Amino acid sequence: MNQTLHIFAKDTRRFLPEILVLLALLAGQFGIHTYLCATDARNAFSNPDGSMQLITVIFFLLTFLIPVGWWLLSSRVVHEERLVGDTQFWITRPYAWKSLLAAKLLFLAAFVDLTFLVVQCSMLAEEGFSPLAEMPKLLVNLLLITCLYLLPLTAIAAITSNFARMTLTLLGALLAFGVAVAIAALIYGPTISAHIGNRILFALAMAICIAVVVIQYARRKVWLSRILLISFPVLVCVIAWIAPDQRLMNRIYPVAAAGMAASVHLSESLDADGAPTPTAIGTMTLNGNEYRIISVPFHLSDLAQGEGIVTEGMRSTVEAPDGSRWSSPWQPLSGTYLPGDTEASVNFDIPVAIYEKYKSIPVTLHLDLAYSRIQAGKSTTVPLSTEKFSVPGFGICSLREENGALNCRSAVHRPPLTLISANVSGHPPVGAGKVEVGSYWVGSLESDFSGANILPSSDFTVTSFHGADNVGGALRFLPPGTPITFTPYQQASRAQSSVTLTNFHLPTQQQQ
Amino acid sequence: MNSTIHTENLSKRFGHTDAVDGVNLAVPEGAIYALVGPNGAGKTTLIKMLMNIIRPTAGSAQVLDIDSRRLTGKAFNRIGYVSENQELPEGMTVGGMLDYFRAFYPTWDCALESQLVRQFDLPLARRLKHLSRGMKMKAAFASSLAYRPSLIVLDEPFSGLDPLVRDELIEGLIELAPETTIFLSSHDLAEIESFSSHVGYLEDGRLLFSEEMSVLSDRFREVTVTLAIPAPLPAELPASWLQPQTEDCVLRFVHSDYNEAASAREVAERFPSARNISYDPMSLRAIFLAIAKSHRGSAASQPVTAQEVKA
Repeated sequence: MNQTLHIFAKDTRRFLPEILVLLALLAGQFGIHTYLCATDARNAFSNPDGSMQLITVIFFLLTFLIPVGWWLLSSRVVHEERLVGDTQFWITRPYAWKSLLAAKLLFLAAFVDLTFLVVQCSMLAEEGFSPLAEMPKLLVNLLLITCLYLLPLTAIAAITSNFARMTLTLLGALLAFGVAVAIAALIYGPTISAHIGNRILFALAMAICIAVVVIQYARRKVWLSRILLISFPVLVCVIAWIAPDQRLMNRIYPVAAAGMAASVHLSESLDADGAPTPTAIGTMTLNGNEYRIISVPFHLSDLAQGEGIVTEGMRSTVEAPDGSRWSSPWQPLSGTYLPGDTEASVNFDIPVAIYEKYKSIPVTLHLDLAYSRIQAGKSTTVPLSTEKFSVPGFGICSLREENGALNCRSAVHRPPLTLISANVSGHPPVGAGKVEVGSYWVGSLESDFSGANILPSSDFTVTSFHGADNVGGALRFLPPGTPITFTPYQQASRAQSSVTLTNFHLPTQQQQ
Repeated sequence: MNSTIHTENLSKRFGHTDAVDGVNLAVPEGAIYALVGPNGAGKTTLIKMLMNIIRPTAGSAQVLDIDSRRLTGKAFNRIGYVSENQELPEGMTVGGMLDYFRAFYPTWDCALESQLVRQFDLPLARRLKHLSRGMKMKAAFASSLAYRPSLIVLDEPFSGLDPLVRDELIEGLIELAPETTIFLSSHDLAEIESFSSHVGYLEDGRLLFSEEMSVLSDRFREVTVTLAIPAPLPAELPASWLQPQTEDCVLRFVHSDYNEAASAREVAERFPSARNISYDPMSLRAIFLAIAKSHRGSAASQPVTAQEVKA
């Protein structure tokens, strides 16, 4: 511990100028943020006042420069006792590798993590949040910052000898990763597994970075560490190639066991006369391949009160009378449905050649749907106001009178999946139109892992509500004082349901 | 006597090149051992293996009774290492570097540190990056002597230094580390001759011999035989007679296994008509030149090999 603190103190003295530059960037960000909070104009790009636009640009420039400062600082502190080469003074001195590594981590924790956390807390307090109440989110964000920025930077610094080489290696690593992701996308296309795979790759990347750092400090096996880092983009492709799509999906989204009722029931969508609702078709080109997008309506039932579903993926299987069949991979599908929603639609992509083969014959279409079942939490109803009002667990909102939009700010990340609902009127002047229940979904089921955020909060604006008639999209005017309800939803479980449409004809009329 | 450094078949291969090839070496405790050899002989590679900077391809080395591959961390409390290629914490001042290193060594002697600073005339307030090469080397010496290490390993420490600095360093080394085992490499024979107690000769990665300096000096003589009439070089001379050559009535060679009585008898028997035979002691430089030239000539390589590793 003494050696750790001794090295830490030396590094602190040695890199005081760099530390001060980083602190100046953070202080600048905090100062401008305070000013923007006072003028309520953090997103002032649309502000006609040129000086405000300039200040906003500087704010975002500082926000960009802070990670650059981390990059520089991590390079300087690791390269001070560099791990590549055989002429460094420290390798024949009584350094304990654990102490050296601990000193470097302590340095980064103190001057990157801690300073960032302090500034985030201060900015959140300026915005009206309680930093203490938001501490779990802040710490998760800090962990993500450490994993996504600091750890890869430290790993790359550990296998390079100076800042220039580190920069080139970093650019090379980003390029290699980009190429690998592109190759993986070519191999596998846009699949829900890619979304799940991202988590596997994230864990893999973290494991590799940690291994590289430990190997370098413990043994200085530079080539082994470099091979490990190079293996990552290769693994991205390999995982895309061998990912057990169906097994993975069945594990994450279990099919309801026999005799157990699924939480949602899917059936063919029929019109008032009992005829199937018409299907639609579009076109899409992906990675140079042309696809037909088939849109199939279906009927939803059995959703219990207080529950809902969030669709996340789907897979389609087309089977012809002659026994030939085609199955798509699992594809992403987004949609949120509550008990009142009975009609939904599924879009799936089918290669042109397959489409041409089956378009003129009746087929059996089997759709598997992967979804999360969501459970409503405790609702909060507050009167709408042009002044800032706080919604517990959600954020701080206010009504902008000039356009009737609801501006909200959530601490650190996007809020949890929340349904905002109110009685809304469709036509100005206020209260003149038909009043109906309007709603709007915001947030995400996985808000805590939506990525590291350098800003202390996330802003979003609700400009439109979907009305009860489900027409959607129209701007609804909300008079001040209107009770507005925020209902958070939590993930209860994941499941799969399916629907089989027999004697199905692939649509032929193309829509643009 | 205990060996501070002991190697067994220590080898290092880079690709298809044997940088160090089966070196067996023993450095006695308290010795000042000079490893000499031409540039590219493998001296630095051997030292780097001893210091666990690089790993041997084969064989093993014990340094202060520790396997060199386990030489890390606290083991360096007892070892001082200075190399011509070694980087120093350039951003620090000399005083800052000494302050920094002081905390690493439980045996750091502040009085000795002060003495070294005075003796080497080190400017404590100046940054290392602003020092001359000689001054940097002095600073490195001071930081490696102040904790009274049991072993000091020096890799070409005097290379490129002016004679004054070199003498100051040698003086400091001998005066201030009297009980320390010193292992140093050099390709400059003159600079190590005055103070080394043991010497080893490395060429093409192979240790041609390793022995005490006094034994080496006693073993080598430049023999001059003056004959009555000019004569060609006799065939089948003993293998220990290196670089034999004749010029008119004079025959010269280097005797690599000289023994006063036996050698005089042997030479006299070979040249009964000799008018005069002289046996002149050789400088270390002359000995090594003779060995190096003999080793490079295939016919003369065997006698030296026969003397290998006497220490």
